[in-house]
Amino acid sequence: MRRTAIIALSALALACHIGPRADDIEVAHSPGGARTRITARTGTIVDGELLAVADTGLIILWSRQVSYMPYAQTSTVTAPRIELSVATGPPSPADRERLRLMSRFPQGLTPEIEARLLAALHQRAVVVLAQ
Amino acid sequence: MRIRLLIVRRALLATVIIAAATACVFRGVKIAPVAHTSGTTVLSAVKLHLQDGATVVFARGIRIDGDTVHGAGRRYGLTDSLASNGSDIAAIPLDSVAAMESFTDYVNGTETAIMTTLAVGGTVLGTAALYKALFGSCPTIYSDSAGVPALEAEGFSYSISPLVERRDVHRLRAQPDRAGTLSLDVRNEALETHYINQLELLAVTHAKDEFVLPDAEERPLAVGAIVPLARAVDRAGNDVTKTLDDDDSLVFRSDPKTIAGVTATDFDDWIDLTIPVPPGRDSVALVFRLRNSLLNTVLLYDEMLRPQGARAVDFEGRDLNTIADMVALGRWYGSRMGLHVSVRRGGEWQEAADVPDAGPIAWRDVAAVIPAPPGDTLRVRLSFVADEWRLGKVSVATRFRRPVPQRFAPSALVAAHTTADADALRSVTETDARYLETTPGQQFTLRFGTGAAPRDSVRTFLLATDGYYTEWIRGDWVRQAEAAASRPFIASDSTLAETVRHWSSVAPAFESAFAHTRIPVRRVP
Repeated sequence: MRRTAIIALSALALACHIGPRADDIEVAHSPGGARTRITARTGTIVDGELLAVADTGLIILWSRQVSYMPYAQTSTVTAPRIELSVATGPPSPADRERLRLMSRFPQGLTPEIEARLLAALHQRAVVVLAQ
Repeated sequence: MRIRLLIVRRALLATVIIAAATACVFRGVKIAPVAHTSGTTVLSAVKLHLQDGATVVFARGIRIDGDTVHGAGRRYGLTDSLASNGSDIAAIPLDSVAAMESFTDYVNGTETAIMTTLAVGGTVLGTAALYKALFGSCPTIYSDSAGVPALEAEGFSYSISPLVERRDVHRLRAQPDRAGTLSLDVRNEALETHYINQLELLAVTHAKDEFVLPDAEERPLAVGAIVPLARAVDRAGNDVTKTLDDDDSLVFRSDPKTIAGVTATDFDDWIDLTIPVPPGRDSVALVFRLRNSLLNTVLLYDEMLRPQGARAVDFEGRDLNTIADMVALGRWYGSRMGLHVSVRRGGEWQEAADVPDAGPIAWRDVAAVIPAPPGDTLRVRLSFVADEWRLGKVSVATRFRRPVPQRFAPSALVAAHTTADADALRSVTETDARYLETTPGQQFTLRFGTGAAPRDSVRTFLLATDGYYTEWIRGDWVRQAEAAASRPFIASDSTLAETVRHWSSVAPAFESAFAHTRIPVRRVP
């Protein structure tokens, strides 16, 4: 029986492992938020770091600028392990929570942090990516 | 006794080895908020977000003692990236922390079990064809034609989730035997699990010069006075009148120039029909004999499922069962796929009917009733995604009626060992919460008692099928996607245009493989 167990355990080593580990996920060991791709309803693609999640849209660092993309102008949002279609409405509270936990500021972009961030990036106001 | 024990042990060992060697362990990362409570200990990576906008990363976890967070962390400023390297920090006051989240590895037991079962099943069965099989879409229905199985129909072809379970109606050529019993074989010849809710026979008694078939809303229609099209011209300018004229070996497929010209904003082919209309007619019925190409199958396999790799299990098990996701997908699919019939009126095309997808396996007879504006000539446009359809015949019925069919529930379901299975029969008799579940390679026979045939008229039978199916996720899809970085399925016109281009490059090989890789069937045990 011991030989059976040894052979079985050896065979287990052959099993494939599928899916990420925490070590594989950049956002787990990086200070920044998740790399996020937003596809606007116009078809424009915006790639950036997810800074914060608001009730009405996403705040991302795009082209070294703090930018805001309303859900109403968004078609899809793709972040690591998250793909959302928001073409017909904003993300559900559960999806917003998933995004929030992968953002740089899950506590939200408070007025103080926003002011310091804009100053650090030599920016006068948040860029709104809507048309 | 000892020999028996040895055999059992060896069989067990063989199964364990196969299971282990072919198993796939599905793991993931759970991201969750961490409570700001003294005594909390986290042994995996944790990120702290401070009130001042700084971030602290604890790669090996934290311990909260009293009002302080302890661990080996690195602190990054408001705009620092990983490249800035940060600064070491070992303790942080809890009241300076705005938020914390942990990143924890986990193993998804359900998905691991599903995929392992598939892998073990495939290995133990030893059917090399299993993982190569392409024959897809729904239960296939056969009748007996002088000892040879004759393909009659395929049921609920595109019901890929319980949320889109639907009832299809199919015209049958089969007739009852002398005792009035009509028998049909139902097979699962694909790598799918079929959930059959109801199988019902409809009988329509009609005159000999009438032809009975379902319409686009799955209702029986008896048509007569059928005439050919005056002219049919496709988008590329080809005159396809003769191709659509008769149910012969000539079959319409989109011109290669039209397929090559597909873009994300222009992916349709069309056929413009010219139809003579007798005086006084305000509507006619278009009568089609058609089936889908394998474009839809390629969309399901190569765009929806394969690129997602392991996540395709989630897509099938969760996304396709989430109402909002399915509504969005269904709306997109319904507006693009299918055969859209428009009528020329007042100088513009007005949509008059939609013929739903029919499936790529069996030819389907289906009608669409459309209005005929005043005049002796009706102009109709059939539009569809380039190369989505194979059209065998299109004609026009200037006389039609809606008959009330006689309904027959199956009287027997014969599965294994040629014995009737009462439980399985009950599962397919009504549309209710009971389903008959079949897996690849299973088949059964349904018998319907239809009574005596009428003497002065004829009967045509139609089969109503209600259910849905789930596609099996192939092991090689998972491995390929893992090797190439998996990507999600996005229902968009860009995806559709890409699918058409991909389809045009793989079509000959795909069609050939499709025809040669049916799963061999056996009786349902």
